[in-house]
Amino acid sequence: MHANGSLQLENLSRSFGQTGVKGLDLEIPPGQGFSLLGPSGCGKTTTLRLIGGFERPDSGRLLHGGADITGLPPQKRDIRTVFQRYALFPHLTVSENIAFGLRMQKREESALQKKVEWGLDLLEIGPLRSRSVQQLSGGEQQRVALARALVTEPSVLLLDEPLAALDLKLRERMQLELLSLRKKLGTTFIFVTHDQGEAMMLSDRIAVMRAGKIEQVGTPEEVYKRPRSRFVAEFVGQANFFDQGGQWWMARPEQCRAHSLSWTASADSLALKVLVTEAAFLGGHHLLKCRGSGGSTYLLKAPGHENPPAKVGTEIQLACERKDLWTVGAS
Amino acid sequence: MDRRRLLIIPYLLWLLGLVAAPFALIFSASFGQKDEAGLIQFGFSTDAYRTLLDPLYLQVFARTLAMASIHTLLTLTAAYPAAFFLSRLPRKSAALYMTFLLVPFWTNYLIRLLAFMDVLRLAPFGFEWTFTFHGILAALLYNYLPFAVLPLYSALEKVPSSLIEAAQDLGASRRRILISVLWPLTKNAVFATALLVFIPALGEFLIPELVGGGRSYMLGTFLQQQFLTFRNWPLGAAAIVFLLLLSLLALLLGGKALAEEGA
Amino acid sequence: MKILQIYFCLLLLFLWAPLVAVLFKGSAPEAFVLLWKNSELLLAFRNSLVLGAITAFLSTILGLATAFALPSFSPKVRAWVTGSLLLPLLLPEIAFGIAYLVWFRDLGLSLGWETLLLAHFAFTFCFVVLVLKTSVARLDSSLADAARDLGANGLQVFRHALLPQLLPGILAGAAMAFSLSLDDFLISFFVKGIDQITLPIKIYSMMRLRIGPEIYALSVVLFAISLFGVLFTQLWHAKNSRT
Repeated sequence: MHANGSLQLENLSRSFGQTGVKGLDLEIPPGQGFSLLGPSGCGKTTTLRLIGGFERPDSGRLLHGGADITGLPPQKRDIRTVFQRYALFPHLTVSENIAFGLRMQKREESALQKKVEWGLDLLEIGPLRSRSVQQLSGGEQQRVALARALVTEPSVLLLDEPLAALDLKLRERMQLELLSLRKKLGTTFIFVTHDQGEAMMLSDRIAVMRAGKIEQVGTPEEVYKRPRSRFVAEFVGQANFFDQGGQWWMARPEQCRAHSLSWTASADSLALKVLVTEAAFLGGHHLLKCRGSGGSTYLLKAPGHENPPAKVGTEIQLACERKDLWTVGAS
Repeated sequence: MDRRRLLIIPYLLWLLGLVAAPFALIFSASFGQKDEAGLIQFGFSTDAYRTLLDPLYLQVFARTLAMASIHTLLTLTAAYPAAFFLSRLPRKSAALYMTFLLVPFWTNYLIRLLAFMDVLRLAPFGFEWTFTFHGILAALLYNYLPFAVLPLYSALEKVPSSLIEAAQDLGASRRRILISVLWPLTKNAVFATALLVFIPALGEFLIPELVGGGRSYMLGTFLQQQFLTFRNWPLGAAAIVFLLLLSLLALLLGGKALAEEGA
Repeated sequence: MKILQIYFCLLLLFLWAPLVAVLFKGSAPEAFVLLWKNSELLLAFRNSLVLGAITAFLSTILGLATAFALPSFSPKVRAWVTGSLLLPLLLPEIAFGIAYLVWFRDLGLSLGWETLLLAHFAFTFCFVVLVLKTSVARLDSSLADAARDLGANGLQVFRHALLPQLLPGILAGAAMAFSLSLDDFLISFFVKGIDQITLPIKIYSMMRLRIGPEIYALSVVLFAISLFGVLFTQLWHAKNSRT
């Protein structure tokens, strides 16, 4: 069954004692890369499991392509899940694992084998086909899990913290691959992650969640540049907050400059005297951590190819253009 | 020389004096003949074995084998779903349910039997179960069920829920999950448990006698008669040799499964 | 899952109902009075308790010795020893009971308490060694080394560094041996003399002749003992796993 259409969550709730999700409303158009981003306990995994069919909602509806799938078990949904630890069948080889879903669909043998080959090719794991899954590395296992899910041609693919177990280089490589896979297949990819960089890399849109509710949905740029609450501002990237007449304004560290104490701020700049407490060179940029007179922490990024803006222990003026400030509603 | 090694002496005495010697004696007794004093006249005679080949006695073996086999199948089929249920529960709840399951098992064997027989005598659902073959099977199930759940639970507990969910996600029905996921991953434990349930049943004496009223003549009853009543010890010894061969054969067949589980 | 839960509860019902009926019948005060008056039954009970205690003691001491000896041997030897200990547990009990009978007679021993004890020791020994084997394997040798470093001699090392660690295993093994002995019918049946009456044997003869209410009262007592034993073990495990 191929229901190609948007995924819609309507007032979905599921509680587990203190945690869970409440009254979720979300619409995910087909073919999108969508992330559920948030700290642990925010309900993102619960949401994923609700979409996958492994949890039944206490109330609300789930619609796929207009059809109500709330009551459907996982077997009957045109949605596949890639589990956090891959859940590969240990007693089956790589090809047998990949073939599993196809066998459940009772496909004819030669067509099935062709599809398995297609899957092996897609994820570039052809040479691994007869290996036992227990001998594979983490990255290889993930590819098998992806192939297993994708050969059944689902319209939606759910990925639970897909890159969490990989080391940095591998993670970067997989991020690009996931992007290209999605573009190639046109499948909707829904990710659960607590890493905002990953969410921004992989998605067209992000839903930032906290304590079972969605705080904001938007493109990576919207969520980063125009966060609607202090929580979102702080969770998606680092933020500096300035109290201007009872209202909180935010600027990102890269929007702020370091100036000497003798520098005079113009009318369209906001400047603050701070003490540099830590400084680090991170390759692409310098990062300065400063403390203001009221005790608040400020972060400052400066281009890495320039000289370090200031030394630890010096007082500087932290300045940003007023036009770059963004007001964040009361959180 | 490491003095600790000397501590192995008790084991050696046990092995030689209480395992090797008795069975060696049984083996040689099986080649002996019945003596007027009711003891064994050792020699070399295959009388005992030839007597056993009589259809009357072969029937006893066959009946016992049938009883043990059906009982094994029954007990495993009953225990597996119970073990699966426990394996999906959080540890603490599983431990609690398990305690409930085990307390009857830890009660004295004869008391359990007494309790079960009392129920049988009430002839539930109008069936007369005492003195019948199926009464014996029911009593065996009653006795061995908790014992069978334990090893099955330990194996099923090792199957992560994500594997079952993955199979569901890929479209497998419940039956399919059982055949394609659960069975391959637990079949060794099932075979090992089967042995633990089958072999003791071969030697069962109490249940066929008390519950079956002695009307189902099993190997256990036969042995008791040869050794205590008729005092035809060579014949009994030959039967024991047969019993042990059967058990060892079963162990060999399932040996691989046992080794993989016990590891 | 709901179906499985119902199934499991039905299973529990199946296992418990007959027991509850027995406990019910046994809770009548008249039954206890009769039990108290049935000196034969009480004697059999006492015999079994004493036999069980001595068996447990013997098995535990000698089992501990064996468990201690094992690490000094090669893995191959250890594997064979473990196999030989497993074998009696896997083979039918009746074969052992009869084998002991024939053997003891052949040795010229008259069947009595000694033969019974010997047989009980024989089949509990393997259990105990298997339990203690794991306890000994898990021993933290650094405690013994520390004790020696501080000047303790062999016996003191055992008492202060090893015994505390082994105690749970020892108790478990002893409890196991005791309850196996108490519970044993088949082997006792073949190996006892005319006068030796253990509890299971007595219950058996009562079941064949006449089942009086006193058996039910006794069942209550035995049930209480095993219930206590199981609860104790579970609580012990729970306490240990928390540390």
